[in-house]
Order: sequence, then structure tokens, then C-alpha cells
Amino acid sequence: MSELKPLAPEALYQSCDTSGLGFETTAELEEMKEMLGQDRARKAIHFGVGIRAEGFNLFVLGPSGLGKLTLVRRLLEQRSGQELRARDWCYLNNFTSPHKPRALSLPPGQGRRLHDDLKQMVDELGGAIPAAFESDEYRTRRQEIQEEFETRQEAALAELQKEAEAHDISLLRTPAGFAFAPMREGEVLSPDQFHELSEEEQKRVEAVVSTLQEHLQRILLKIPQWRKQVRDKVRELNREITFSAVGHLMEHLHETYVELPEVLEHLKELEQDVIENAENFRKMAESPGEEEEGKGLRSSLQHRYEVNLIVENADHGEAPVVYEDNPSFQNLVGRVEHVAQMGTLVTDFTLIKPGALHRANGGYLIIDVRRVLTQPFSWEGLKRALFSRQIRIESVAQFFSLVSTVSLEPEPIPLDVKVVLVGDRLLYYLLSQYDPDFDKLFKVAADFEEHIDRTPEGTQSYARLLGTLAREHSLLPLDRGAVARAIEHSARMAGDSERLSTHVGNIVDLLREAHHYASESGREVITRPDIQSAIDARIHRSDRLRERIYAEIQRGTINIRTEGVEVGLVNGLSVIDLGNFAFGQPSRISATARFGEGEVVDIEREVEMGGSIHSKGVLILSHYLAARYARDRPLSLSASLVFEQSYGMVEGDSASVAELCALLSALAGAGVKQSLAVTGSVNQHGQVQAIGGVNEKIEGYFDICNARGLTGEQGVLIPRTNVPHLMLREDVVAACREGRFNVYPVETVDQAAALLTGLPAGEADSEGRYPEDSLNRRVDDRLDELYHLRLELMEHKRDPGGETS
Amino acid sequence: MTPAAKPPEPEDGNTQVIRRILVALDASPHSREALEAAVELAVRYRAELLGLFVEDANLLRVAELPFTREVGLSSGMPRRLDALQLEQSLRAQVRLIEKLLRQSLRRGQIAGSLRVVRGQIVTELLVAARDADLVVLGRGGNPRRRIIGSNLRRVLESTLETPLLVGRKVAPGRPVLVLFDGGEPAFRALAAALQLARRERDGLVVLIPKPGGAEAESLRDLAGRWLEQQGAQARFLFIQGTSPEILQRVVEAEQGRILVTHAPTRGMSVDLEITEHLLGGLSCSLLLIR
Repeated sequence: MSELKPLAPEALYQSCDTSGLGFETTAELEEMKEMLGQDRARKAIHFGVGIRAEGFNLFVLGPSGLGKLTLVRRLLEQRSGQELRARDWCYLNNFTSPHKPRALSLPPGQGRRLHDDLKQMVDELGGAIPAAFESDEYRTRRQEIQEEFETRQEAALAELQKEAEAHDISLLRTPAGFAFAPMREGEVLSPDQFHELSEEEQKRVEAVVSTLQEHLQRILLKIPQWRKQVRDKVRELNREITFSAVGHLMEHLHETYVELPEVLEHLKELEQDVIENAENFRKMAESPGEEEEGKGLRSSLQHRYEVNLIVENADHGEAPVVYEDNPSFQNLVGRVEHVAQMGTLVTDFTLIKPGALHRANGGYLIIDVRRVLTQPFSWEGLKRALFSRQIRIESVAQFFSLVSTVSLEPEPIPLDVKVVLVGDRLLYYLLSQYDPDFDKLFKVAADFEEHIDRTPEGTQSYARLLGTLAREHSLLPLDRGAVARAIEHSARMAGDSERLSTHVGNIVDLLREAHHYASESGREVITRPDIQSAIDARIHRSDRLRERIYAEIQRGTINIRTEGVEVGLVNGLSVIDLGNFAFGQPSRISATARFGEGEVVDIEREVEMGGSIHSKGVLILSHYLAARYARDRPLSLSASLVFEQSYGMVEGDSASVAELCALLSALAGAGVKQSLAVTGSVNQHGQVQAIGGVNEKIEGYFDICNARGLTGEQGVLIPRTNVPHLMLREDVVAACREGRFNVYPVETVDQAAALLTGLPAGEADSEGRYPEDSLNRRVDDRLDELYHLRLELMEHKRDPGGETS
Repeated sequence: MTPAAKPPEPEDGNTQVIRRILVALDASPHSREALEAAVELAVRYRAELLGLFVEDANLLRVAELPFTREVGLSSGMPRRLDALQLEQSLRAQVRLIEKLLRQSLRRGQIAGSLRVVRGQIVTELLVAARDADLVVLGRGGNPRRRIIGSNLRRVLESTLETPLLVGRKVAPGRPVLVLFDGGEPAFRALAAALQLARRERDGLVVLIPKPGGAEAESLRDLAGRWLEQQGAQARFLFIQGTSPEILQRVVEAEQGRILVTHAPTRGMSVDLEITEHLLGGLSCSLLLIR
């Protein structure tokens, strides 16, 4: 096997060729209207928006910062102008059941008109009704009714009195009514005088009085009926008078809204109600404006006939696009507010407030899925509205039947809305997995790409994107160098020299910072050094922890050797991710091997500090070991593997090559060059597989070595399949170019182990024997030794008395 | 009526001194209005106020008769009219009236007393009126329907000679109106009106019941001269006759406080129909001079 060569510097960093860019600054570039690399998502959104079928709501998924919301909004707004579906919505007083306000839908612009018309009508009624009741006509007619009653009553009594007088009986007024008594010369007979009368006469008087009393009774019993007739007549008169005052005002409104039958129906009911409540208009006119009673009446009447316009659209009725940034339950479905009155909370239809669903009705509602899920009850409320296709305003307490007090039950409003949820992929997958309703309601997923291919066309488009973003955010244009550096950085963000990151949020932040440095230096364009300053400053702001760890490594507190040779000890590499910044940290991986039952102990797993992927890596390598070296004999080995000085969780399988090499070194008793560090995962056939964070890992080890002084021996072994991902820092590339540092691409464990130990790995011959002095031979021999040890031990066990015989 | 050829000697304003005012009281709102009007006059004249409450003998007798029943006004149900209860009710009325009168006297700082008698209301009133210089009554009846009370009607029908004031509550500071047709009673009315107007420093308006012309002028001169002799001034108003409607309209237009007139007569007695009609729609007090 030929010796493995380190990678050429060209493989370590794919710089962007400025000569291929074909412009001086991005100011020359055409604006980019489409979002870069999001064809799939755009098509999905187009489809989701265009299809008018139940449940075809959208879920736009992807990490934050990709510009999902911007794209969704832009696409929806482009489309909403072509759709004229919005309508005005209002709540009206339900005169028959005030606790069930009526919902009314109107063509766009008509809601405000109706609101103003009715307000004006109430104002006018406030003048017209009292005026009608003050008219001579009303007064005269009312007096006539009253007089008719009194005349009737008096006539009846007068007739009775006349009848009584014919019998010398008088009708007298008593404190609480009337009484009949026999009279003589204007005076009531005294009991003595009465008894002086003949018995016959006495009987006659008593009989007459009795008859008269009955007659009187009949008259008095009729009085309440007569009174009621008077009241009815007065009421009828009031209705007639009110009707005459209201009629012409209503007629005008009827003409205005002749094409809206629902409005006409409401107007009819309103007219009836005004007639029933004319008294209040009169009272309002009687109390001057400053008096509390007058004010109260006025506002209560205006309330009663008000139009609570909850959704108002411009005249053309474009489909609304609403983004609700606080999707609480009530902000979505609306709420009924209360006001304190005399110590209690009261409400009416004017206190109904719309939610985002109302405002978006007939159009689109965009919601951040994480927010809607973290707000109590919002998700359930949203689903319920979408399922039932209507908006029912309820308080949370009503929604869960926690209260049964009388409140408003506004008539539900039919819902025709397309909901666009925007959020992380994880949430999409979780909802899809665990919420059975989710797939029925959100049938269209628009998945955002995080990368585009770094082709010449992609690079050109990316340059246009940079120019567009700079323009959109009022930043200086970028020159070619700056564009090239930004593109290189984008590839580094993507962790792939052949791809570019579409994380618009990060790009904009980088451009803003670069703009800051360019402006400080008085430049008209952003140049490559400005971009570099921005990148460096950003790293510097975030790398406190890295510095501390590296300092501890330099001080020897964390033991990392970068030269010399050790048996069973390999420098592994891990990545610490701080969210927007990640760095590599070398760790020593040590292995021990002794006689045993064939187990490889992963100490990290034993103490529950190893993740399952890590454990999987260790199991793979142990089986690789068994399959390669102990194919036809038991593996009589007890080995242990550990990350030295590790005090937290270890996850991932990227250390499995290093672990395997440490174990082979321990078995073979072969020293490992400490100047090298290894990353890569291994499969059961000993092939090295790609890992993540390769750039950070190389740079991390480089930084440690560099601080101690580069010897030219130092370097990192990486899986060959990771080579396309390399976008290393300039200083690393420079050191490699000068031969002071090396990056080795490895394909097999043999290559890695050979490089680390300096021994040839050795290929097995047809009998499965490895060449003398090869690493594998030493491993094989050691395992054989352990096997024989085991055989001896088993013999001894089987024949324990042998010694004494 | 034409002016008398020889006007009677004008009476001295001092001869018609009002020392005692009799006011008939019961617990009705009309009676309270009458009391207020009476108190106001008593204060101005420094006169003594005599309240009179007549316990209706007829009613008491009704209660004593074994077979009579009171039929409730609102219930229409007959029930025994209990004499004891009636007495109690009368006593309660007396207490209430006493209290009202006492308050009024204290407020006006005038002397006065309440006389409670049992008998026929009008008869007792006429008896009491003999000691009084002025009788004050409430209008009673139904003001909206312009009907006066039955007791007032009977008093008008009676032979009462004392001036009679049918009291209404009217804000002070308004003019006294007097109807002057040149006859002898008209001078007495003029004298009474002048006295009221002087005492109260309110304006005096003399109503001449002629639309204009020589007759009206001559009546005005007659009254004017008389007033001049008394050192008084007045405003004169020619009106279209003495019908109740005209008088009522004039009172309203002039916002009069008291209308003074001699009682319209028919033969020897008061023309009840006209007086009743006048009182029915009058918005101020009426002082009837006989």
C-alpha cells in the first residue's frame, strides 16, 4: 500500500473566482425578484394557494432565517390583488334575543356606510321623535283619548247618581271609594231617623241601595278595562306618531340598501324596535345634554342601533393577507369584552372584538407555528375553526365549558380562509406524527431549501441576491472581492465547498456588519476586507469559550499531546456547537486491552454519558474487530474505551475511527503519533465514513498545534468523503501549502492506523496470515496469545486435580 | 255694561282691611295650593289665618247605617264602612292638616289656628266665613278637564258675601289683573286689586272689556281718575269682552298672578256657569268680589 499523501492546498478551500463574476460592483446587477433556490417551496405555495379545496392549508417549513415569511407574504400579496373575495362583517343588535347578536356580511366598503347611516339616523331620530310628540296633533289626540275615558267614567257615575237620587239616595265619596245612603234635605239619614221609617220603607231603601251598589260595582270593575283601553289607544297613537317620524328616514335607508335583503330585514326590525322604544328618544330630548341621565340615554340608544363593524375592507375588497404575530386564542377567534357598570361586568354586541380569523376571512392568515402551539388553547381553537369552517367567538372558559354564566353568543361567521403556518421542520414532523387532525387540515407542505449548488450559475445568482439584499436594506453595494468572499463564507456556512447557504437572515446580518466597517473606513463599496472583518469580528464576539478551552489545553490542564508517541492513545476531534458558532475541540481517546471474554466496554455508555449513536459506533467497531481478527476463534479480549477528561455528554460516531485505532494500538503495543488527530466513523468492514463539522475539527486541532508551533509532522486524518466539504480558514490552508500542517483523506481503518502508528497495516494472505511486522500481524498475534491463554485456562478448569496427580 | 253716570265714591283703601283669612283645608293637593296662597296673603296683610277642617257628618252617618257599604274605587269590592275606622282616618287627616298649618304659620311668622268642626261642609264653611274678611278655597275637581270641585260649586251657589279667593300656586312678582266695567262692584274690585298690587309692589293691569272706541276710552278715564286719586298708576288693556276664554288668554299672555273681578251675576245670584267655566281653565288665583 502506497503511503498516503496529504491533500493539496487546492482541495482545502474552494475560492471563488472573481474573474468569472463579470461586474465591478453589485450595483450593476439586476434585482432578484425570485427567492434564490426556493423553486420547490414556491411551487408548493403556488399550488396550495391556488387550490380551493377543504384542508389545503399550507405549512411552510424550514429553519428560521431562510426568508420563509418574506416569500410567503410576497407571493400572497401578489395573488391577493387578483382575488376580490373580501367582505365587510359586522355584528348587529338582535332585538328579539339581545344575547345572540346577529352577524351581517356586506360587500366591501358597505359596512362603513351602513355604520355611518345608522349613526346619523339615530341622531336624527333624537330630534324627529320628540318633535312629533310635541306636535299639537299628538297633544290633542292624546287629550281626546283621556277625555273619552273620563267622560265615560263620569257619565256612568252621573247616571248612577241620577238613578239614586230618584230614590232619595245619594252617592257619597268615602276615603277609599263610594257609598250610597238615604238622604233627606241634603243630609244623610241618621240611624235613628232610618229606624223611624216604616219597615217596608226601610226594606225598600235597603233593596235600592243594594241594587245601586251592584250597579256601582259593575261600573267600577269596568274602569280598569277602560284604563287599559286608554293605554292601548295611547300606545297605538304613540306608534302611529313614531312611525310618521321614523318612516321617511327609514324610507331613505330602504332605498339605499334595496339590493341587500339582509340589511333591509335588519332595518325593518330596527324600525319596529324604534317604535317600541320611542319613549326613550323622548326622554333623551327632555334631559339636557349635560345631565347624567340624558348622556346615559343617548349613549344607550346609540349603542342599541349601532353597527359594530368588525371587519372593514377598502372599496375593492382585495383578499386580505394577515400576519398574526401573537396568535393567542382570543387574538385568533376574537373576544367579547366587558365593561364595569355599578360593580358588575356587563357586555353587549358592541363589545365584540374581531380576531385574526375575522380579519383574514376571504383571504390568507399567516401564523408562526411555534407561537400558536405555545399559546394555550390556540391550536385547538384554530383547528376547530378550520374544521367547522366558521368563527365562533367564545371565551376560553366557554370553550371548555368552565362557566355557565349568561354571556353573549354571537352568531358564528362563515370562515373562508387559507391558513399558512410557518415554522421549523421538526414541528411539522411532530405534528404530522402526533396530531391526527394535522394532515387533514394542512395538506400542502412547502419545504424550504437551505442550500443551493455552487455552480457558475448558482454563483451568479448568489451575487445578484447579495446585490438585491444590499439594496433592499439600504446597504453599500459589494465589489467583486466582497461578493467572492461572501460566497466563500456562504459555502463555509453550508459546510460544503460545493454548496451555498440560502440562510438569508445570516447573509443580511453579514452584509450589515460589513457595511458598518466599510462606512467607518469611508468607502463607497463593501470590499473583501470588510466582509472578512465582519466574519472575524463575529467569531471574536462568540469565541470566549473556545479561547478558554484552548488556553486550558496550552496550560496542560486539558491534556492534549501534539508530538511524541503513545500506545493506546489517539487524538480525537469533537465539535462544540454554540448555536451561531461552532468550534472543534481535540480530546484524547484511550483504549486498554487485556485478557477477557470478548467484550469492548464503552465507558461513556457505562456511566450514561454517551449517546446512542456513540454507543452504536463502539459496537460497530467491536464487531469489526471480532470479524476481522477472530473470525474462527473466540475474541478473548476485554477492552475499554474512554474520552479522557470528558465531563459532559459524548454523542455521535465521528470518533469511532479514532477509538478503533486506539484499540488496535493497545492490542499491537504500537505507539501512535500524537502529532496527528483523527475524525471519521467506521463501518463493520473497516471503511471510513463521512462526519459533520469537518472544517471546525481541522481548525480546532490546527489552532492547538499552531499555538505550540507547527512542526510539519502535525495533521488531521479525515474521511475522504468529507473532502468536498472542506472550506478551511486561510491560515490553515497557508500552513498546509507550506508543508507545516497536513490533512490526510483516509478511506479505510488500515490507512488511518498505518498513518498513525507508522507501521504498515498489512494485507492478509490466502491463509489469512498478515505479513511479519505489520500492524495487523501484531494485533492478530496478540489476540492469538489471549486465545491460547483462554484455552489454557479452560483446560485448567476442566481438570483442576491435574496439579496434584 | 255701561259706565254709571255717577261714579260711586271711591272707597278708602284703608277701609277694606283684611284681618282674618279663612282657608278651608283637607289633605288634597288643591287644598295645599289654597293654603299656600292663603299664607302668602296673610303674610302680606299681616292677617290672622284661620284654618277650617269640616268632618263630613254625612260620611259619619253613612258609617252608622247598618246596611251601607263602601265600594272600593280600585277594587270595586263592597265592604262595611267602619265608623271607628272612619273616625281614625279623620283624626289622621286632622293631624296632617295641623302639621301643615303649623309649618306654614311658622314659616310665614303669622298668627293662626285650626278649627275642626263636624257637620255639612258648605254649611260650616259659610258659618265660619262670617268671622273672616277673605275666604280661600282650593279649586278641587279635575283641572285637566276644567271641572271644579263640588264643594266650591256649592259655595259659589251660596249666599257668601265675603270676598272669595280660589287659590292657585303662582310665582310672586307677577302683575295683579283686574276687570273693570265701570259698575259699582267694579270699583270694589279695583280697590281690592290696588290693595293687593300696592302691598306686593307688583304691577296692576286694568282690563277694560271693550275692544276700543269712545266707550273704552271713557271707562279707562274713569278708572284712571279713580286710581289717580289714590295716588296709584296702572296699565290699561282693552279686551274683547268678558268671556271666560278671553280672560284666560289674557291672564296667560300677561302672566298674571291674581285675577280680581266682581262675580258675574245672573239676576241676584252668581252666574255659576260662567264662573265655573272661568275657574276651570284659569292659570292663576281668582279673587271674586261680591
